[in-house]
Amino acid sequence: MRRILSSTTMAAALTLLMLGGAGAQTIAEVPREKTLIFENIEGRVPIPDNMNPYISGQNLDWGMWQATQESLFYYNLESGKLEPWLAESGTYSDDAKTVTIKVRKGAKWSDGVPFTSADIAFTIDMLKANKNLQYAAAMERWVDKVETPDADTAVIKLTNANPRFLLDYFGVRIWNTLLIAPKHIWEGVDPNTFTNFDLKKGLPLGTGPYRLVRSTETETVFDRLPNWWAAETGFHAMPAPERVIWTGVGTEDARAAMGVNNQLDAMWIMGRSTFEIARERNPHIIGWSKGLPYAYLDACPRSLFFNTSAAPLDKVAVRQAVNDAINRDQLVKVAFEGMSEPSYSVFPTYSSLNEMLKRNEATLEKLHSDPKAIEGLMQGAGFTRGGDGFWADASGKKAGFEITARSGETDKLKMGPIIVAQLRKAGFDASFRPAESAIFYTDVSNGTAAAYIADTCGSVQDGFASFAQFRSSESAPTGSASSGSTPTRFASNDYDAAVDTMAKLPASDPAFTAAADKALAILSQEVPVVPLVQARLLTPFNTTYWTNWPTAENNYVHPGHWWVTGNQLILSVKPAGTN
Amino acid sequence: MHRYLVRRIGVFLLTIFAAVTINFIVIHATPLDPVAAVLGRMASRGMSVEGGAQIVRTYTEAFGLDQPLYVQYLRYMGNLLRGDFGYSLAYFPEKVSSVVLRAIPWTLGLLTSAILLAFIVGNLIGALAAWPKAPRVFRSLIYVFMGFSAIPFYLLALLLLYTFAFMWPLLPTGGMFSVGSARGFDLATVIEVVTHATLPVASLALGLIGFWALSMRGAMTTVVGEDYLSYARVKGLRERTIFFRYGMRNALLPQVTALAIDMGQLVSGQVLVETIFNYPGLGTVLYNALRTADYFVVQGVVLFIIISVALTMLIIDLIYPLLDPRVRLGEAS
Repeated sequence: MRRILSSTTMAAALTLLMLGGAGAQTIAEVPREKTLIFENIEGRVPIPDNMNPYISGQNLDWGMWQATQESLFYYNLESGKLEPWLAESGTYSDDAKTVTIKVRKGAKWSDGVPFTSADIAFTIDMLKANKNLQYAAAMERWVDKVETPDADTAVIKLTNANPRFLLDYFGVRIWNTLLIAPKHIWEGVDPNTFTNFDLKKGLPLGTGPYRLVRSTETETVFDRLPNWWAAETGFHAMPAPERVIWTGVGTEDARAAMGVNNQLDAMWIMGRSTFEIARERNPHIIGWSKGLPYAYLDACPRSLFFNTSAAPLDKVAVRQAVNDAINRDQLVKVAFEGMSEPSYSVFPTYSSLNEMLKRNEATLEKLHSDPKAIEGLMQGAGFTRGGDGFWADASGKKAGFEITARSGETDKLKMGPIIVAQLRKAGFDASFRPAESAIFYTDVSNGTAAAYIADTCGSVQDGFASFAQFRSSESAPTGSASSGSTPTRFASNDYDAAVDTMAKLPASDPAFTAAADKALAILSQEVPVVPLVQARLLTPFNTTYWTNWPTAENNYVHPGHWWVTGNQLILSVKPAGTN
Repeated sequence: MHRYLVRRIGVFLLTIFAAVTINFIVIHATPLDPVAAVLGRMASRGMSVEGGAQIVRTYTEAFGLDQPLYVQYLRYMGNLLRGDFGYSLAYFPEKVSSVVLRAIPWTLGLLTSAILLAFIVGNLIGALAAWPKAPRVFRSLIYVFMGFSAIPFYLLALLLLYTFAFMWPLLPTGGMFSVGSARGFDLATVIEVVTHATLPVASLALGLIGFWALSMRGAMTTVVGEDYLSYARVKGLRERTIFFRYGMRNALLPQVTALAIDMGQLVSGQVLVETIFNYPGLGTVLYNALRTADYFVVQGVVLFIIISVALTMLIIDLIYPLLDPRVRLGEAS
């Protein structure tokens, strides 16, 4: 028996060793206190040997765009400013049809080749010439041509006025951005098939202070380069971590365990109770604030979206009545464990947007719940309340609809049943169905979903981006795929006109203000979407090895370490031993 | 023997053909739109989806999703015969074969370890429970492991994770290596890999040991009274020799057949266990592919699972006559 056991153990060990060898990329050890470890929020890297940032659907938030790449500009959600980085400045012509970008002097790719305006022009031209790449449609739509009068200047002639061009495409408005490609690497390759991955040749090449040394499904490792243009020019000091790692974790339990065991320095979202337990076991785990809500304000408030072309939600009065039935305080208390606040607009309450929200307080007041108004609205729309307590139309059909949300998004899955309970109490025959990603997106895109809970990721600086999501051009007839991120099938000529006016104007223009107010009034009246709550995310950090994480008191950047702005965290953390 | 061999291989090929066809029909019968799913995923993360209609058109044409179902089926079968599994829809231009091949070693390692562990420990406990001279504790052990068998694999995984990685952090929470470790062909790497595989393997094996123990106890009960055991004792053989060479060896034959059936159960359980432990095997690939409606990856993974299970059954069928001559006699008569 001993023979069987020992040979089995050997066989298993050998099998696993072979597997280990197959997936391993040997690297030198770096002490833990010099290593910064982030959680890869995607869980795993689906194509570890492809670092092409232009492939449709490609996410490179497992370190590639935080450690090796840099953006022309970074929009700082906390300060509300568009901060130049690889660019020294970006200016618009008076008619907002020409954008001039001045490249920062001394900026270099990590192989020593200077970063110039030719790289910017090459990237835009490459995208315009390859229609299947990410951002290709946007560049084709907006850019007429790019001129490079000298190595430091790129002049982008736009097809139409767009005072948000830099923010939208080169400023990390939300999560990612259009990264500039090194012309000397991408020239002569097919950008549709180029993997941009060859560790021996130094690919992927960027301007950032790190280079990729390992890429597997579960882990990406970046080592600090000896030289970095920003340190050489005095623009920014070298980052302290010698090595930065992104690792997959899996479940919230595993995340908490790894955090408690100091195996993670920056974590993905955690529920309040899990966070409090983890913090109790390891006092070095911190949130955005020391006390409640622990969580920072995310750019994507949660809302209930309707398919406004399908009964009974095609009637404005029914949508208004649904809004009146929803008690947002209850959602905050249960779904967000008290870590958020009710929302009456689809905009995050950043300082840059608060002025518009304050100006329109009376308009937004209409969206405050009013259960007493439901009866009048429903009766006015031709519904009567039956003996079973549900509203029904003249033919006896109940005012019913199903709400769906994507599985895995905890706060939405918690909100769904609460909203359904509130609606049923108010006489709507509502139900809730969590759906896997593929089913959810299919239903939302094609309009099969009558109602769904989702994020409104759009505006961060002025109202335009979120308003634009409700233009009729963002929707399609039910049954056809919509290209909008949150389709409602809402169509209003007045609304489209107001948003089109905003598109061409900077937020400082009085005509923009008037158009924004008008659009907000239409949205609040027509209710294609019910704003629910502001999103607050609790993403814990661990101060055992690294300090100076962004917090409410030290809000140099928002804490979303998976954004392209995540490089700001890497550049700012300090070794705990130095405190 | 020759006819037996041809018939078994024929059944093997027919099984694969039928399973692949059913797999194709089932996945295409769902109301999922994989291209809409790609767009939705991009949009939900704030990614640029301008030109969405263009992306839909390109993907639909490139993947032949606009063709009638029978054309898609014929093309799929034709490609399969040429060894072409196509591209991942969710992560184009990644090839399905690359996705599957990258994951196979990890899944094989996990499955092999879990099956061997469960088979050996379970059969040993079951045999000892039925052996008259064995300590009584083995009879009780069967009930303990039967209790584990009643718990789904993923719950066992969570239970083990909480106990041994969170409450008492003795073992890693997941992955197959320590974060940022050097990794080479050395003892340290072996220990690292084995340590990381311990909890996932235990989650799968614990759920199966009870089944093996119970069925082995039944098989062993029919053997303990056999004349050849009494003869062995009369010959003066050691009790341990009698137990392993005459008792367990004869009772083990039906267990070998059950091994193939067990594999199917294990593969289904492995999907969630791998996800919980963030183990980069086929289970995780399948889970992600299902979530993103990645038709071709689902088909690739399922095809691999079908071939694995069918091949295991074929091998067991083929070696069975060598283990038990009565099978050949039955064929001849």
